[in-house]
Amino acid sequence: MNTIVLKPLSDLRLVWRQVVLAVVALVVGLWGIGGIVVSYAVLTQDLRENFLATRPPHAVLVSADFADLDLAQLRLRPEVEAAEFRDLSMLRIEVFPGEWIPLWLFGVEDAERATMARLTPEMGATRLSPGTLLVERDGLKISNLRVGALARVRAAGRIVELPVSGIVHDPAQAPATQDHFIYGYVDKPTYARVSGQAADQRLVLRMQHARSAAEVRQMLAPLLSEFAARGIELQSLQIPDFEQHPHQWQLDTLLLLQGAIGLLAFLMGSVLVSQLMTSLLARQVREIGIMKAIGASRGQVLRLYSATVLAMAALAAVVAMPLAVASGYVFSRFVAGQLNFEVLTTQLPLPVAIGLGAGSLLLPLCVALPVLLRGTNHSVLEALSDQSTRAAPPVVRRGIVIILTMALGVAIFDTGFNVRQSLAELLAEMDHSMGHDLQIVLKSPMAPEDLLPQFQDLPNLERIEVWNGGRGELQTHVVATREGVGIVALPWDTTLFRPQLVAGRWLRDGDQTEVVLNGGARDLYEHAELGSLIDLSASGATIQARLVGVVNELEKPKIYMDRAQYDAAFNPRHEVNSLMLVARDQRFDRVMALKRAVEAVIEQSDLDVLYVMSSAERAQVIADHLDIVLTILAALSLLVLMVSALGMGSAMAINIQERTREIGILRAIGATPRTVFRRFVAEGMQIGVASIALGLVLAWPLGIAASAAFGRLMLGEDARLRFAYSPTGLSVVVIVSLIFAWVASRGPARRAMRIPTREALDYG
Amino acid sequence: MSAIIELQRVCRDYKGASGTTAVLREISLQFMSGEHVAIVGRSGSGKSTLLNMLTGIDHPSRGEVHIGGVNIHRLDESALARWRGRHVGIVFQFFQLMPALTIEQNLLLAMDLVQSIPRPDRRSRAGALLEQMGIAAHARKLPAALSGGEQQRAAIARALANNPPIIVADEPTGNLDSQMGWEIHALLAQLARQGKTVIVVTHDRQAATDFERVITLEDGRVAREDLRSGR
Repeated sequence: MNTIVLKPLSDLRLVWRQVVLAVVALVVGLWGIGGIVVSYAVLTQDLRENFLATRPPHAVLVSADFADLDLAQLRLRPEVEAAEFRDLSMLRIEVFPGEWIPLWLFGVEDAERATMARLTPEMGATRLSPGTLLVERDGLKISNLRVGALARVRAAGRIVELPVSGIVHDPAQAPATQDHFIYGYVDKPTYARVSGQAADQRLVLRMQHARSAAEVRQMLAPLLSEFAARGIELQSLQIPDFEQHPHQWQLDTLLLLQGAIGLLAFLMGSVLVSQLMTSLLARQVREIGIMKAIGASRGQVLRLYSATVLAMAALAAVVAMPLAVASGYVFSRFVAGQLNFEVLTTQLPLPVAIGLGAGSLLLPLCVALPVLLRGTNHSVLEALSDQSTRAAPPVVRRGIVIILTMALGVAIFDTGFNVRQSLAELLAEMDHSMGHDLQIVLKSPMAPEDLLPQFQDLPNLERIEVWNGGRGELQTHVVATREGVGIVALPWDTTLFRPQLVAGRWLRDGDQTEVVLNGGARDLYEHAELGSLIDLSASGATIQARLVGVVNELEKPKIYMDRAQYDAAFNPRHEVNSLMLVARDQRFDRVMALKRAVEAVIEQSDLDVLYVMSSAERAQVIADHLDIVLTILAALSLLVLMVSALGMGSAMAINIQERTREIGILRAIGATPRTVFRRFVAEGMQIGVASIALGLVLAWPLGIAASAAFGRLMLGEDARLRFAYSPTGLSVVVIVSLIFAWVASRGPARRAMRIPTREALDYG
Repeated sequence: MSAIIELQRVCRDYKGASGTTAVLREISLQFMSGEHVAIVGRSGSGKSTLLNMLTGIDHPSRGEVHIGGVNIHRLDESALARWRGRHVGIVFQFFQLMPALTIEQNLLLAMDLVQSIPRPDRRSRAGALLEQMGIAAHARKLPAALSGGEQQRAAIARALANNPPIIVADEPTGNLDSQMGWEIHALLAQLARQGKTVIVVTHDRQAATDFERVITLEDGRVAREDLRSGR
C-alpha cells in the first residue's frame, strides 16, 4: 500500500479509542440522517404514488340536478380527462356490538373499471355485487368487520344489513384509524336503497393536463357556466389541494422533524471528527514539519490528513448505510401503515444512494477542513520548533466545546419533552373548552321540539343544549374546500364551548352578524383582517358577517356564529342538527353509559344520526393524529442526546490525552491512580452539570420556537401552540444526561489512571 | 570542483519581545560538490539557522541562497518542498522518524512524497539503503523498537531515499553515545566520498577534525574556516 495512504491509517491506530468514539458518533448520526433520507425518499415518492395511482379527482361537484346530465357527452369534452358519479353519504355503521361510528358510504358505478378514484381489491370479492359492501382495509383495525360478516348500517332512521363481500385499499382517503371512520363502497342501486338518497348527485372530474388547483378552477369555468345556463344548480364545488393526500401535513411534519434532528445529529458527529482531527494534528505538527522537510508539499499533507477523515467517514458509512437503509424502510413501513398506504419503492433510488454515500464522506470532511487547513499551514520551522504546541487548543476552549456539544443535545432532548407537553396541554385545554360530554349530530336538521323529548329522560343527563350547522350541510362559496367549511351555530353565551382566543374576541349579542374563525378557517380565508366583512353563503342565501375573533383549535376549518343570527340568515324554520349533552356524573365510564343509552334511543327511533361522540373520544381522535409525530419526536431527541454524549466522551478522551504530562506530574508528586481517576471523573461531572444547566436554559427559547413552528404546521398559520415546560421531561433529561456524562467521563478517566508515571512524563 | 551552494551576504534577524536579534550577519559562503563540511560554534552562534537557510526551512532577512543555480528563497512553499525533496536530504538530531510507520515505510514515504524514484524501484531502493546502513534486519520494525544509533542510521537512509546531491545534518550525534556518534560520522564521511555534499552542524570539536573543511561561527558571523588536506 502507498505510504501516503498508509500513514493516516497508522496514525489512527495510535488514537484508536478516540477514533472509535468519533466513528460511533458518525455512525449514529449517519444512521439517523441516512434512515431519514431513505424514508424521505420512499415516503414522499410512495405516498404520492399510492395517491396518484388511484387517479384522484380534481374536482367534486354536488347537485341534485345532475339527473339529465349526459356523462358520455361530458367525457368527450377536451378539458375533461375523466368523469363519473361517485355518490357519497355519511351514515353510521356498527363496528362492535352497540358501538356505532360514522360510515362514509360511496356509491360506485363500476369498481373494477373505474377511471378515477380507483380501489384496489385486497380480499374477497374484486367487484361489487348488488346488495353487498366493500370495506376499506384500514377500517378493519377499528372494527370487527370481516369478509362474510353482516354489516349493520344505519341510514335514514333505519338499520340495513349488508354482507361484507370484500376488503379494498383506498389510499386516497384519510386513514380510518385516525379519523375513526369506516369507508364503505356499494353499487349505485344499493347506495340509493341504503342511503335513501338518489344516486348520480356527486360528480367527480379529472381535468386534462391540469397542473394546479388554479388551472382546474380555470378549466372548470366554462363547464360551470354551461351548467348554470342549463339550470343545474350546484350545492357544492370542492377543488381539493392539487393531487395531495389529505394527511400530507402529517408526513410533512414528520419529515421536517426527522430532517432537522437527523441533520443535527450528523453535524454533531462531524464536529466530533473535527475535534479528533484537531487533537491528532496538534500531536502531529512536528511530523507535518518533517514531511514538509523531506519534500511533502502542503497540498500533499492536506490530502494525507483529508484521507484520514475520509477513512473514518468511509468506515462509518460502511457500518451505517445498511442500518440506515434497513431502518429507513422499517420507518417507512410504519408510517405507511399509519397513513394506510403501501411502500412501493423496494430498491433505493440510485441518486439517493449516491447522494447518501457522497454526503457521508464529504460532510465530515467539510466540517474538518478548517482544522486541516490550520493544522497543515505551519511552516517547517514552526513545526520543528517548540511553537508547534500552539496548534493544540487550550483546555478552556476544549471545555467550552464539550459543554456546548453536550448542552445542545440536552436542549434538543428537553425540547422534545416540552413540545410534547405543549401538545398535551393543548389537548387538555381543548377538552376543557368543550363543556359538553356527548354530542349527537344529525344528518338532517330537525325541529328541536321533535328531537329533545326523545333524550330528555336519559339517566345521568343534566341538560341538553341545541346547536346547528355542521360540515356537509353548510358550505360557503367564498372559498372552495375539500370538505367544506363547517358553520357551527351556537348560542353566543353558551357555556359549553370556551375556546382559547388567539385574536379578537368571542361572539356577542347584537344586530350585526358576527363570526369567529378557527385557525384553519382563517388560513382558508387568506388571513382575513379582524373587523372585516366576509361573504358567507349557505342554504342558497348569502350574507355579510364581520370577523371578530380567531380561536385556537386543532380541528378542520370552522366558522362560529350565534345561532339566532344563523337562523335569521339561513334557517327560518329554526331547526337544529346537534345536541350537546351534559352529564351529571362526568366520569368516563358514566359518560360512556350515557352514550350507550343515547345509542339505544337512536336504535329505537327513526332519527337519521351522523355520529354520536363523547368529548373524551374526540380528544382521542386528535391525540391519535399526533401520536405518530410525538413518538418520532421522542426517539429522535434521544438520538441527538446520545450523539452529544458520545461527543462528550470523545472530547474528554482527547482532553485527558492532551493532559497526559499533567497526569505524570500529579503522579510524580504523590497522586495515586485512584486520585487521578476521581479528579477526571469529577471534572467530567462538572462539565456534565454545566452542560445540563446550559442545555436547560437553551431549551427554553428552542422550545418556544419549536412549539410555535409545530403550532403553525398543525393548527394553521394563525394558531398558537403555547409553550409548556414538562416537569417529567426535566427529571428525565437531568437523570439521563447525568448518566451519559458519568459514562462519558468514566472511560477516559480510567485510562488516565492506568498511564505509567514515566510514560506520562515523557509524553509529547 | 564547482560550487553547488552559494550564500551571498545572508542575514537573518528575529523579532522578539526584547527587540530584533541578528542571528546571521552577512554570511557569504560557497560549498563545493562532494565537499564534507562541518559547521561548528557555541550554542546560539547561528549554526542551525545557517543550516535552515541551506534547506529552505528558514528564509534570509537579507541576502540570497543559490543552490544548483536556483535562488531557493524565490520559490513558493510547495515548489520549495518539491525542490528540497529532490535536492537535499536532512538528518535531524532527534531522528524524527514517523512513529506509526515501520523503518522501511519511513523510507518509502519519502519516496512516495517526492516521486523522483519510479514506483517499482522504491521498495528495492529502500532495502538497498537499509542494507548500506546496516539495519536491513530492522526494516519491518517500528522506530521505537530500534536503538538511537539504529534510528539515526534509518534517518540517514531516509535522507538518501530520493538520491539528493546534498545531505545536511543538524547535530546528528547529539543524542547518541560516543561510539554510535563515531559510526554516524563515518557513515556521513563515506557519503561525501561517494560524491554527496555533506554539511554537518556539530558542537563536537573532536569529531570536526574528521571533516575536510570546518566553518566556525561566532555571533552569526563566520569566525574561521579551516581546510584540511589529504582527502
